[in-house]
Amino acid sequence: MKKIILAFLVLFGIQEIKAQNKVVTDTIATSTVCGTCKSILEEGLKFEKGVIRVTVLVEEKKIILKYRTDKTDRATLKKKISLLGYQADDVLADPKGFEALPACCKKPHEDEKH
Amino acid sequence: MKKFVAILFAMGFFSAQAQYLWFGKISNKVSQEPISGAVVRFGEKEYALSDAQGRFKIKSSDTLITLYFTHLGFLPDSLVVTHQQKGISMQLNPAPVELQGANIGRKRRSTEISTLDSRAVQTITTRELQKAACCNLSESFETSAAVDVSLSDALTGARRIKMLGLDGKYVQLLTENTSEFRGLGQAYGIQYVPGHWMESIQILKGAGSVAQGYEAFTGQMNVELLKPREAEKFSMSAYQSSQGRSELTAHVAGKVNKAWHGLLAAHTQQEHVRWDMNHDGFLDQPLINNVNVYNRWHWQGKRAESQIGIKYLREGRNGGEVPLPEGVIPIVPQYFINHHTERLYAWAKFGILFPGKPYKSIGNILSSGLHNQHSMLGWNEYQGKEKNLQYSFLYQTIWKDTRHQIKMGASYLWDQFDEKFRDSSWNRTEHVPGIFAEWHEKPQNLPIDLIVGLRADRHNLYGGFLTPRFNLKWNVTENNIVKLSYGTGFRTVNALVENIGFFASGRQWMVEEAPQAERSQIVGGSFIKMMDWFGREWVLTLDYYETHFQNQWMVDVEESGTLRMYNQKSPSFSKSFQAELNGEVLEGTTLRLAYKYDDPRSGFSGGTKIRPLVEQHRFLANVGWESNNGKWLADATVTHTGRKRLPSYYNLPQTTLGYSPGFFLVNGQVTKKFKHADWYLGIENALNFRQHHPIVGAPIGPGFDAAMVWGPIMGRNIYLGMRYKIK
Repeated sequence: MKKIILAFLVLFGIQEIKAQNKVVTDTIATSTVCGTCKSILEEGLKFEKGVIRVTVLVEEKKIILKYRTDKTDRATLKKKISLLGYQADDVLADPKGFEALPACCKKPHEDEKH
Repeated sequence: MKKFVAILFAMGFFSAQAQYLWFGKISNKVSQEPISGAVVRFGEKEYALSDAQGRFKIKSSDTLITLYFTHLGFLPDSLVVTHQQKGISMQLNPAPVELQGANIGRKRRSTEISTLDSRAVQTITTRELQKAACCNLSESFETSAAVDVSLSDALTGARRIKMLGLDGKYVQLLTENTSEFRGLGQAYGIQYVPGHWMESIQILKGAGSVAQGYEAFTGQMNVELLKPREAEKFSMSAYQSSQGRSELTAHVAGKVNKAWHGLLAAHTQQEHVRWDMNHDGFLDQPLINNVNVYNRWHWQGKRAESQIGIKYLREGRNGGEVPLPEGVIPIVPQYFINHHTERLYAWAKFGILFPGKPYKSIGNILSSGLHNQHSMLGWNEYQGKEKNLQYSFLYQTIWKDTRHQIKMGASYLWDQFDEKFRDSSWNRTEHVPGIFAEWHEKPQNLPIDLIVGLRADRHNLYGGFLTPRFNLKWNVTENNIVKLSYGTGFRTVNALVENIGFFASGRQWMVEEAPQAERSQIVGGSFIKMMDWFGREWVLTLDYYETHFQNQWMVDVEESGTLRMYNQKSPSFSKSFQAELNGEVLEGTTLRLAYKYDDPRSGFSGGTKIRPLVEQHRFLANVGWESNNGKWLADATVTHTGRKRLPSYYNLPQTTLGYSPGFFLVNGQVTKKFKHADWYLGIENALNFRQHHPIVGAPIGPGFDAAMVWGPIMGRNIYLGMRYKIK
């Protein structure tokens, strides 16, 4: 019994434990408009290589990312956010990803209204 | 966005013109933390965004510019700068709390007690179902206090559920609002819905809607299954337990064309390991071979919508005594149990929509089932066949505006039973036409919500009857809600199959009179209080319900050697109280504490007694934990089941003075989610508590009884499962 639990922990847990010191928390500005955007980004990013935790603050238009620097970097994550259809800092949203978003997420956001 | 790019280009072209460059930093005035993603506007169209460190830079040909800083969650501000000024430092004041409070969406709890519905509905979501990842509907209530599950007998492995102290047959079991498991299918019905096919379960206490019929006594349980349009494209899951249970489930779903979506699912459960842990010569659980196939389609038109589905199930259960080695001839023939069940169920729904009038619709539901069961319990042979056809029509509209909603419709049920047990044969055909209407009122100025429903049915065997239902919700304050409910129920008795557990006994069956229909009234209510403790939301629910029978079909096993059946002779009722507290202790850690007190009394010919084999006190504690966006989930549940009354003459081991002992059950599970796969490892009955001698007497004598089960028969179980999915 104990052995099985241990094996389970070893399988999935050990890599996360040993690489604690390479973990950073970073914030990327993005173009979210609603709760659906939050779930698209969180679900779309949480299983990306190296990502530990994703929190999207919709109204603050921010993505707080905790990730491992030896497995991924800010540029890679920004690219992924763009592919999901959202702007990531200076990287513009990928047109294909944006096109695939549900209607509520396509509404123009404040910084595009002129 | 394009304009921004255009500006960058423009800047490149006009670089000959004098350009001024500003650098700046934006921070939160209160916390001093940098603000990223803030918009810095200057002039008509030009703007810049601050980066993760709050830094921004601006280029302009003007010598004097005004910068406007805006960012949601902060009060806007502005600043005038000249070209000599290089470093700009801007501090923004956080906006009042109301605005910030809205930033982070409330996390959805895995079990939600609805505060919007006027009825006392509790929804078990997929997330809750994944907490105890096994395996079918009967095993989905491990973390729920409202419903408890126990074994019906020591041999067939059949499980029964209980709600408000009464048997599961008094809970109307619906799959997507159709009565799939009625009549003969009810005994094992809750084991015929595979866990991975379920999307959510709604448990309703008290009176339900008249639109779903008259059979809900204590409440309703509705299971939503995988849907062609919402399910993952492909999913496959496997489960293996240390007790030899193997399960495999798979489905494919997708779009066929613009109008059609389809889903095909298959499931199998196999148990082929013979266990006799208590060395009584009987298998502790039967060997099971189950195959379940499901196919459904969804058609969406402009003014109409339709769904059709078909389900097929085949199951074999073999139990009884451990077979002797080959070549050894027993002195007395061995006692074996064989169940063979086959079911086919098909349904179709057709709805007409009114474009521009979302409140108005016409619905038709047609369903039909075939049930065929053959059981051998020692020398007792049972054969049951049922064919049924149900149709219901529903029209929904409003009166004046959406504050007054009306539902009305009609239904028809045709049900044919053909049962044989030992040498008696029970046949009957039921025809029940009915009409119903429901009024839903939401007064404009009062914080109440009222549903009044009435249905009239005519049963060919028991005559006409009325079913009134009443639900009231009162929002006393924003965080205190009271729900009240009253209703009646009616159902016909399937005396044999409902007591299938007693087939495995040497009791003499004595049916003393023809069964009358069972009728009851339920009255009760819930109080829901939402609290804010240390910045986290907690919900306290208090429930009290009373069910009173006008007639209940009694199964009297109070005397040794006999099983007497008759219509109730003295008052039968059940009272139930439940208190439940749900909340978040720490970020990602949830706690549920529940206590339930049931007082079910049966009106036997010898007077009203506490229903046998039902606990009166039950306590449940559940701790759930999740981290990293739910990539890791862990869950532990402790339940304490109180003592249960045993029929008086029994003197079984572990029991005292006609009562079984109370016992603790501990379950736990750890889940790790990956992009396409979830793995889970769990333990059930961690304390390895067992009822040691569930079988009384030898199969040949009249004292033989395998139905006096009050606790788990199988001990500790460890399981490992995996689910693979492609969205």
